[in-house]
Amino acid sequence: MKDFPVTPSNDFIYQPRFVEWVLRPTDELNQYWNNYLKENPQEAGKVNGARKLIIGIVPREKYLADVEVNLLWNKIKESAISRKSKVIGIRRWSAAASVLIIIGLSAWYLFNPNSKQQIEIDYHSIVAKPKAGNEIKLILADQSEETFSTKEVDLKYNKDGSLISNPGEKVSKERVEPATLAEKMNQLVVPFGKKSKIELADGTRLWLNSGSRAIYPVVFQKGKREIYLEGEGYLEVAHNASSPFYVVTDQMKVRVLGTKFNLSAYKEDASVSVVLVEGSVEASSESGKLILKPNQLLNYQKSTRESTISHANVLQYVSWIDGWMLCDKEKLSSIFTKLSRYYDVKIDISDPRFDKMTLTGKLDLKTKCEDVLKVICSTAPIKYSISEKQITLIINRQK
Amino acid sequence: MDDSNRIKSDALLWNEFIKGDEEAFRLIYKDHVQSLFKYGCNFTHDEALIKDCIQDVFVDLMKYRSTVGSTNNIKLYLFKSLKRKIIRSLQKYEIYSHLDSDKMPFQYALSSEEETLEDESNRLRTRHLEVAMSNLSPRQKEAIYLKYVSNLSYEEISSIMKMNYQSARNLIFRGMEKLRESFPKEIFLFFLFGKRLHKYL
Repeated sequence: MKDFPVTPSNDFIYQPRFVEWVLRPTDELNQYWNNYLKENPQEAGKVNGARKLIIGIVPREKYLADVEVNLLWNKIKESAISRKSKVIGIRRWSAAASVLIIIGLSAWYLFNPNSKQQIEIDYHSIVAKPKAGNEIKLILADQSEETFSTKEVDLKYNKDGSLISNPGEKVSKERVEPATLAEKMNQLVVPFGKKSKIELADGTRLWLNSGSRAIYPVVFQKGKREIYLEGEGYLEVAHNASSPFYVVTDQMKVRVLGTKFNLSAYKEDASVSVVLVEGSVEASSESGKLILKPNQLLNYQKSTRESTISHANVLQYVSWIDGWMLCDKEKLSSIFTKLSRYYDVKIDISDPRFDKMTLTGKLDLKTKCEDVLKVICSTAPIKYSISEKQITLIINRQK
Repeated sequence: MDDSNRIKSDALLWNEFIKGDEEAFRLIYKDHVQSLFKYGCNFTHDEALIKDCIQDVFVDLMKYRSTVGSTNNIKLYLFKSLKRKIIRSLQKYEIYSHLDSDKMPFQYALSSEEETLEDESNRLRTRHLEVAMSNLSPRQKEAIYLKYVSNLSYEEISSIMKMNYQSARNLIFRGMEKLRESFPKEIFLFFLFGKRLHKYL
């Protein structure tokens, strides 16, 4: 704010140096205004008033999460920059975020099929509660429940364990002694057709996709961070070298020091998968150690206990956060499975030919299920019919 | 960074970008994406629409790189172009079909998400300001937002809002005076001293 020629009154709120001090203080400005106050103690009241007014008019604004900034950038690049330079672009992007590199190098994760014995907390006794219901449900430590009728829920746990939901509303007013707080577990159950976002007490952000649940402490114990996940979640783990972060699923235990990844562990799926967005990761299993790099997909086959690593388009795995489904030669059967979870509808995909047909493109999940089906049917030789909660798909002609 | 430095570095960065440097393009995106998003949130609650518009702004920038000309004020360029895109997208909806940029609604919502430890006087202050804010015209709100939140100069504001320098100043002055009148003076004096100022004293 360079312009401060003729102010209507010689008032603090119109003085650029003052506004700078209030909103973007520097040592130099602090010194200047502290001196000013020492020399003009009679102005303290006016200074306070002006400060409050300026602070007051700066709204607490929404901002884009890192992953959203990255997704948006990728979309821009996809439509603006040639494919050839794409890889370089991604590498440069991470080079700029030097903090993330440090996190990346120190990040590693390990999974162990025998880890069930290591799970100290008996999540299954907590999970035992029925999953029924069409609404997002928050189960507090005292077993009381909050239900949300909205399509999405946004929770934020403060360091002191207090909880804020969908900006503003305070959910839990329970005041607990810090010692017992660390043992208090909350559980968020997201039914099919809904999704949610939680910011945990340590700053870690967790997006939960449809048909998922997470169990996590209200505040983390010192030196240990652990959550349980069922279904699909995308995590941005807050870096804390002295306190590793564990994500426990039925088949896998993932250990991180701070990284971004997508984890899919639906009970009914034949495999568990991890896609790494950022960081460098080491995976141990019965078949030995595997190094997982960004843009790689680790697939653990439940039946054979084998894991494979392949290259993956990360966007495809994390775009659900943004309400998109990106498909790259994806099997129709897999697309319909995801759609049925996302919209909570039954889709009959018993026809084996759905396994052979693939689709490439972008589906907008922010529209109605029927609109998505229309899009698919306009490109593939398929017809759909809807009856109550069942959608039947018929293949028109031999492809 | 003072203004002359900013102008120099903006002009340099822009030049690099026009010459085809992808890194420059990425830096421009990274430096401005958050403030663009926040600015956009004042026109609509539809975050997807805002993101689409931001995407369009940058894709267009890349597409017409050879013809965009030079600028020494990237932020201003992007703000103007985002505002144009958002207005155009909103006009597609029927209720906004007759929207002209002068009557563009500007929401400027002071967030209700209070810090948990904030005291009663702070909440009271926010409520007072919210009421006062709702009495300002959309133009006043936008000008104050651009000045105090986006940290733009009067010249820049007059350029975005298509008005002359003096009108922009007047708009902000009248708005701020209105806000000040509604401000409960007695309450904050005492509390503030203990809370926020001690950091700097």
